[in-house]
Formats: sequence, structure tokens, C-alpha cells
Amino acid sequence: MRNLFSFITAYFSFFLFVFLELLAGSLIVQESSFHQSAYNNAAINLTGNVMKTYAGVQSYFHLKAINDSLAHENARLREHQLDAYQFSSDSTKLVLDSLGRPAFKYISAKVVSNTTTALNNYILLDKGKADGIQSNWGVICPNGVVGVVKDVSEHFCSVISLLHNKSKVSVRVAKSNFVSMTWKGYNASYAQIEDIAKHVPLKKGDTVYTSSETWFYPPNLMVGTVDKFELTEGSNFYFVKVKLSTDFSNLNFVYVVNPLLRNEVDSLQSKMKDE
Amino acid sequence: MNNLIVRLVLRFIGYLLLQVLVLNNVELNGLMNPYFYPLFILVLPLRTPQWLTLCLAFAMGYLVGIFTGTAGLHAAALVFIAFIRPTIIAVLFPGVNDEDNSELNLGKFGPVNFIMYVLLMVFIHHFIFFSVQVWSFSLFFYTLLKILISSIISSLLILLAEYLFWNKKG
Repeated sequence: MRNLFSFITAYFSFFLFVFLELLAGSLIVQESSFHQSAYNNAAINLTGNVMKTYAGVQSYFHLKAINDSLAHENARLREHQLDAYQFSSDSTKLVLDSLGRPAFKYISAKVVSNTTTALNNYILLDKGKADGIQSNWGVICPNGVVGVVKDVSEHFCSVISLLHNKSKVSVRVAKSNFVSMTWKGYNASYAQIEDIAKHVPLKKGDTVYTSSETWFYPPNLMVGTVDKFELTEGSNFYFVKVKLSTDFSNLNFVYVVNPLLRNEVDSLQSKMKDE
Repeated sequence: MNNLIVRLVLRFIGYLLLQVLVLNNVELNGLMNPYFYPLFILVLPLRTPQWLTLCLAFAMGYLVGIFTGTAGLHAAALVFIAFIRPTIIAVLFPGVNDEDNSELNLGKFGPVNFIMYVLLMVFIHHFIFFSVQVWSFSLFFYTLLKILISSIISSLLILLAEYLFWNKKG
């Protein structure tokens, strides 16, 4: 017994080392999963409060850029106002959208912290459960897609950025059907698409839009433009490099998308899988 | 002694804030992420008990990491360099004795040895951090390049800070 005791004291720092590394390892495993956890909520609350104070100071330096982007957005919204349309006095006309059922609701939020250089990037927003945010909702910004909500605490939420190894956005390019856009950790300005069939006509500069398939984001939202595409010998699919329209290094205000109809779609789809 | 503890607490908080508030915002084409906070473990006095070094390393890594959702990664890399620190010091500077029990600095080992020490420790830290983060060989050369460039930038930052704040009298 005494031998065992002296053995442990002699190698105490080694055992402590092994223990701490195992603890760190379990944290790594936990952080790489998409699931919610109590530990994450506590961490979000702590870091959220620190970063909120700091972001409050920092946002003064970006006021001009923020104003510009808001002005652009206002201009775009004005285009959708009734005053911006000319109505004909024809007795029959095609009404594309009049008092249709709302499919999405937007909750504006401020970016509290954001990384772009890691292999898996996360964003922290200053809205949480108290504001009705739920996990698995999409996040967009005036210029494009931002990511998907991961964990939600009382007043903050963490977002899996588009710049994440496991991120996948269902998009549409030119005449292609739904394809998925992924990000592989190289550069915050570019993402890639690897499943566009080779018969689809592509052009440099083609716009990439969100598809209407997944209900994470509103459909037909601009995601980026085709920067480069190539066909590997023997492959049936293009490798497409997409220049993202979202400027992740200068992200200030975003919208969390509440998909009002997604529950219905999800329940129908899960029924399809059961059979 | 009390002075030393106050200084170490200030260093701990200062390096933590510098890392999460300033340096985490520095990026260059996704290749360069400078990490300054390992300096806290590098300069701990030689007489610090090893268990305390390990615990401090874990705390520092954890706190830096929760700001970017990578607490485990930072903690694992920093605890590792805290663990090998005594061995590295014994190999690089045989026979060094730390009479006044203060932080390690340029003056104690001489500039050349200290630069070697910082380069080696920072490289090991970055090697573990970035390889565990990728956890595959698919981006092997890209990761290697990232490790090298980030190590050089981090070491330069650390050495510059050490040189600027090096109190030559003490």
C-alpha cells in the first residue's frame, strides 16, 4: 500500500497531465458535435457578456460600413414597396404575391463575436431564448447567408458559421437543380460546390442562390457568384469555386430566420422516411 | 513573493484579454493565426510546482478557447507544452539555477538560448493545436504551412514583447 502511495506521489504530475489531457480530449469531442449541452450554455453566457462589452466599443469603428450596408438594404426594400410598382388598369392581371401565407419571420441580431480563420468558425449573437430564438434556425445578413444557430442560452446564441467544415447549404446555380455548397477551411471569401453535373451550362459570374428545399433560409437569396469552375478528367461533376457575397470579416448586423412552415415540412418528410 | 503572485495574476488576465480581444481578430488569408498566450506558461518561474503549471495551463487554454468554441483544443496544446517544459529547460539550459524565483526572461538564459526556447515551445504548441484541429491527413501540406507561418509570427510577437518589457535591472 505504501509502495502504491509513493508511486502515485512520485508520478503525480504525470497523472495530472494525463487527466487534464483526457479532460481536454472530452471537451474536443463535445465541441465538435452539433448537439446542445448545458456546458455550452454556461460558456456562451460568460463569453457573451465579455464580448458584448468589447463589441460595443469596437462597433464605433465600423459605423460607416454599417451605415452603407443599411442604406443599401433600405434601397432594396424600397424597391419592393407598392409605390415602386406601376399598376395597370387591365381587368385581368396576374397576382404573384398578395396576402400570401408568411413563410419566414426575421429577428435582427447583433454580432458579438466572430472568427474567420479557424477550420471551424462560430459566431455569437446577442439574442437568445428570451427573444424566441431556437436551435437549428438559419442566419442571414443583408448580403447573403451567414450560418445556422447551434446553441441558445437566455440572452445569446452561438451560430455555426458558413465557414465550418461541416456546413452545407442547399443552393441553385443557373440551370442546375439543388446542389450543396460546402466550405473546406482555406479562405473566408470562397466556398465550393462539387455536385453540379457536367451537362449544366455554367458561366463565370453566374449567381448562386439558396434553394427552396431545406427551409433554413428563404429561397432565392444570393449566396455568391461562380468564380471558377473546372472539370476533372473522368469526372461527371464540376468543381465550382464560389465567391461568397457575405463579407465575414466585417459582419455586424444579421437576421435570424424563423422558418414558420418548416415544422410541417419536416413532419411530412420524416413520415416519408418511415415508409 | 507577494509581488510575484500579483505580477503573475496580471500577466494571466492581460495575456488572456490580449489574445481574445485583439489577436483573435488578426488574420491573413486564413494562414496566419498568432497565438500569444503560451508566453504565460513559458515565463513561469522555474520553481513553480509542476502540478500548478499544469493546472494554470489548463485554465488559460480553456478560457482562451471558450471564446472561439475550441476550449478543448487550446487546453490540450497548452497542457502539453506545460508538461514538457521542465525537460526542455533541462536539455536546453543544463545547470541553470533560478535563485531569485522570478519569471524567466531574456537575461536569465541569454538571448540565443531564450529565442531557441521560445521557437521550440511555440512550434510544438502550434503543431499540436493545428494537427488536432484538422484531425486528418487530407489537408497535410496546407496544415504544415499554417503551422510554420503561425509559429514564426507568434514567436516574433512573443520575443518582441519580451524584449520591449524586459527590465534589464531586475
